[in-house]
Amino acid sequence: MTALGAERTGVARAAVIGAGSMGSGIAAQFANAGIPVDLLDIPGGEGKRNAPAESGVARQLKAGGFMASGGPKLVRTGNVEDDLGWLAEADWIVEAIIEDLDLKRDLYKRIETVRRPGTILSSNTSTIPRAALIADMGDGFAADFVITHFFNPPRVMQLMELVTAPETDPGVANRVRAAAKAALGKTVVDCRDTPGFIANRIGCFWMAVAALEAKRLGLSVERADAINAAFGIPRTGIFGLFDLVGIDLVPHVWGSLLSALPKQDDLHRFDLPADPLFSELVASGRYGRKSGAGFYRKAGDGSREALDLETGDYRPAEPVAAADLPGGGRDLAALLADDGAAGRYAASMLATVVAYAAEHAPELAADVGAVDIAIELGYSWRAGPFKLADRVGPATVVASLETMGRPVPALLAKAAADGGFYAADQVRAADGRMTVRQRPASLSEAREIVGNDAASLRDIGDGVACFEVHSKMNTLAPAVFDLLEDTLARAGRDFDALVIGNDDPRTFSAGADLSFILSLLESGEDATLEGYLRRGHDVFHRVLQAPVPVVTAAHGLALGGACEIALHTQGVVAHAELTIGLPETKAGLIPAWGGCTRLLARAPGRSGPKGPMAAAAQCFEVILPGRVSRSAAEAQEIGYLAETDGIVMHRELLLPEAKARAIALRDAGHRPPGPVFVTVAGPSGAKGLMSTVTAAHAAGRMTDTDFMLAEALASVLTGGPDGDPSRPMADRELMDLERETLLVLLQEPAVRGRIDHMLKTGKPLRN
Amino acid sequence: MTKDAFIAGYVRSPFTFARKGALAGVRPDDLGAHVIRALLERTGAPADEIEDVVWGCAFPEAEQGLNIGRVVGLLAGLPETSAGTTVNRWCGSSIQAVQMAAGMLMMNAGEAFVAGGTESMSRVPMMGFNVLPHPSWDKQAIDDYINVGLTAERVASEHDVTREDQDRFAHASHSKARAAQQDGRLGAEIAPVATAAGDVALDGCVRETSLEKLAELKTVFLEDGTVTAASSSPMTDGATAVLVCSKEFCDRHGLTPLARVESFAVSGCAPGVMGLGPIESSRKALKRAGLTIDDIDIVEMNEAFAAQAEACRRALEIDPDKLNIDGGAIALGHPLGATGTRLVGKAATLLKREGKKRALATQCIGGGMGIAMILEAA
Repeated sequence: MTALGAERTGVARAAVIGAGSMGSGIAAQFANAGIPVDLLDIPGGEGKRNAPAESGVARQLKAGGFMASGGPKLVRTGNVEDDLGWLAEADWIVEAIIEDLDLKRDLYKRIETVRRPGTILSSNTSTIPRAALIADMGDGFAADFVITHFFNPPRVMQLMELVTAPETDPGVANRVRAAAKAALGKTVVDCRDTPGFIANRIGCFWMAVAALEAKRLGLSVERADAINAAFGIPRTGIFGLFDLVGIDLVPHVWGSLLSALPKQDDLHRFDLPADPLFSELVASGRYGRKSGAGFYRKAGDGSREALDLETGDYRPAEPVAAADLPGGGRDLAALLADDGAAGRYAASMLATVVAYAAEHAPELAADVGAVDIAIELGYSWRAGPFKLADRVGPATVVASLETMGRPVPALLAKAAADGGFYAADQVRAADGRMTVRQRPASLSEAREIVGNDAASLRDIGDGVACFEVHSKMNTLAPAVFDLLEDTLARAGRDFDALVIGNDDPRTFSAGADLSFILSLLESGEDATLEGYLRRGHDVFHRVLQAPVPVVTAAHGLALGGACEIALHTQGVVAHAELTIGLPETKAGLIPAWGGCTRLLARAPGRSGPKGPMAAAAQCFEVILPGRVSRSAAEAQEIGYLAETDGIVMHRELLLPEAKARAIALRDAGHRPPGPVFVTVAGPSGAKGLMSTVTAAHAAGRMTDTDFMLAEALASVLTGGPDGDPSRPMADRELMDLERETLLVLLQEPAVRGRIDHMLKTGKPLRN
Repeated sequence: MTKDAFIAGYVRSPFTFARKGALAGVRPDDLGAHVIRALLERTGAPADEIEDVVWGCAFPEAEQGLNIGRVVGLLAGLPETSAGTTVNRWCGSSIQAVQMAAGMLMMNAGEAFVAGGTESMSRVPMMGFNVLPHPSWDKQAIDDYINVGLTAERVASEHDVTREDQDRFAHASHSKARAAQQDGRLGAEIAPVATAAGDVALDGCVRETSLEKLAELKTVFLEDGTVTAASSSPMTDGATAVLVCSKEFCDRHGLTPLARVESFAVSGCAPGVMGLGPIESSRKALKRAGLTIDDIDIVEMNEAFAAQAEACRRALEIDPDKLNIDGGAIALGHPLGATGTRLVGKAATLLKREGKKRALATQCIGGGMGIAMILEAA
């Protein structure tokens, strides 16, 4: 199924030329959106003409580039000699071949013989200017040609840098923006046609400064990494990042950037390829993780070693905790004020990078917000350089530069004098003035109809309300049920369609409040515990039978009870990168808020052999190991999402599309489903299910606790002791069985041990 | 009036691993029809004189359902006048199919039969899609009936078949099968199957291995047990068929009989030691033929597990040099309902090839049974 919104972008078929990690990854992402794509590379040997393109698909299968097992079926592999004609069918052709101007231009000339005029043609170049690529290619080509610079891996990295020009056809630019967002899930940042565009220009500069300043100031690699992590760059730190991306890239990436930038550019002061330390690492084949050694390596005994930047020898690694840094790794002002090497390093690095970004921002983008977004999405910083500058105060950065005897760029001076780079809804433009800041709408801006500490009901317009959970990890605390009950009582009066969703960047909801359950167990409040379980069960059933359509907007983590809510709504719109599932067994539980019942009720509608056991066996295989999806598409394969549920590729589209789905259900005349009956296999079926796991138990692959949970689950999924295939059970009856079975399990010490361990460590206990 | 029943032809498909093997995409009824067509082509037996197709299948449901014995006959292009029936005795289904054909022939209820079997363990799981054992059975009873791996562990421990004994047995099976494959001794019985990915002509489960490699494997059924994946027969897809007919039928159509069915027996034992089934069934069959094990030149005994096969070999005092001389199920695979006909067909063929007099085909059966058939060279 095509991703929601992708069908409106005008890109119904795509082609990618070049099946390396970027090209094949971009092709996989088109397939992930349900868009057929041709992947072409140079021809292989005799009889294996498409081998290079096929190996690109194989690479993505191995690397996890595809979200669904059927993804590769949407990729047609070919080669640029035999199959160039396929490009006539494409609405967007992405060139992702090696960085060689002549090769690219030769290819473009060949593409022009087959391409339909108006088809988008884009290059994924990271180093070659657009102007050089289009020289002498003709006006029609220039109007349709843009640079779309993706980041590796294309499925994961959210940034796409877009370089257009005044001669670009506005229709082409609009289609690229729309398709990049709705089909590929990318956030588009408009860039000017300058070397390295934004992210690599600033990101490479930062990496060079962070590495060489650490060396100059005598910091260990561990300490430098900890300080960088404190600034909110990824946990790898700077040297860990070099090990991850590969130190062998230094001569190529930094080399090409240096050769493209004028001599006065500050990057020449931090000439990484010329640095003896980096040259030595490259010459000795110590590229980082891929070669087993770089700034860090594993010693023979498995322990971690770090490179001593002074001696060039390895020594046992001495991890530096954030808490051991000045300011405890949280207080940046304290870190910058430290007069030791750590403080000098932090201040110098931040000031140098912010100054560079401020000096060049006017030539890179329309405003500094674009620079921050590019660094945040392209280099995974929590906040870009201008936001960091605002956090510590631009004046602090200016003071550092003055201490270092470095010039203060005009934009930075202006920000220091004028209150910063950002104001409420404004951001500083290239010319130094404040301009409107483009931001996605926030749910908190919608009127709250009613709310409490854990949840809010908001009016999102057009008669639709949004039930937003905002407790810790968005767990389903009792207060969430308070408001959900109130919300359902208002259905049809305050709103006539409901969306359940939130703005949290990572978590839809972690499900039931385990710590609450454990506290009730420990204090022996069995009646309260049963009440909590019964309440979830009742309120979820009311969601199922609600008089208005309810749609879940699922994203990030949606585990346990969160998955069960989704299973009770009339439809789900999911962000493509969805981690949804019923992992209860890992915490010693079984799903008891209707998870077993709803999955069982839905199972017969899915393909496969029939009979009373088919549905039970299918659910047993999903719930017993606590399967959790790695994408929304996989959740559909597992059965947590229905085939009719929608998927959006970009998170910003989630709530709007969920709202549209709720309105569509309302306008189609919503009716609650009424009583639902489920065919169950009975006690004989439970024995049948258990016969599939006794060998695993005997062989030691299942613990006694696993086995006990399996028995409990098998009993629920087959309707308990009174289950009978000739007598379909009401869903409420089955839900009661779930709850009663869980209450018995909760009395087991081994189960409590699992819950306790999960709460303390976040990891399952295999007892 | 009784007649003698003869085996006058034997064909099988290649045996390949379930799910990951080359035949996983082939329907079991197509596989069955394929070997029937090949059998009739190779023997030259006229299709319109086939009385019945007697077809073994351990889990006759889904693609193996609908009375697959009738389905494979129709798909093979037999005339509608030839009947078809399905036989289920789990792993023993297709020795039983041969017996039923021979039994009908001997009571003068027909002169020519196709007996055989099919199992796609890729497409119909072992135990079937709807496992619904009687609710009165306790966990032990269900384990004994269904979890045959655990019964192999019990046989190993009760009959002192050590891990080393099992590894040696498995290694011998693979070595014999590999040698037979390389010498072309298996090819003669195989009818290659055309698939979308090309012709499949070779058995897919045979491996080159070593005792050292086998010793490193983890046990699969019991922690601290002795049975490994390598000392168990693999899940397999395959089909087999033999022609069962009278001497007169052979003479009339110029066929060369391979062997005469001399005696047959089934027996029961405790489900929890089902692997010992061949001991009693073989003894009964020998007794009915008035023979002892010393009179037997060729033994084709199924290797569901090395543990049970070795325990039976010892109890029956079978000379290892007479046992499974082209390898057994550990190396070749065990497509449940098809295996029995492979044992009978192979034993009959070996009598001819090796110039021997008598052969025993026997196997164990889940649920606690054994089955045995004795053949005399024709």
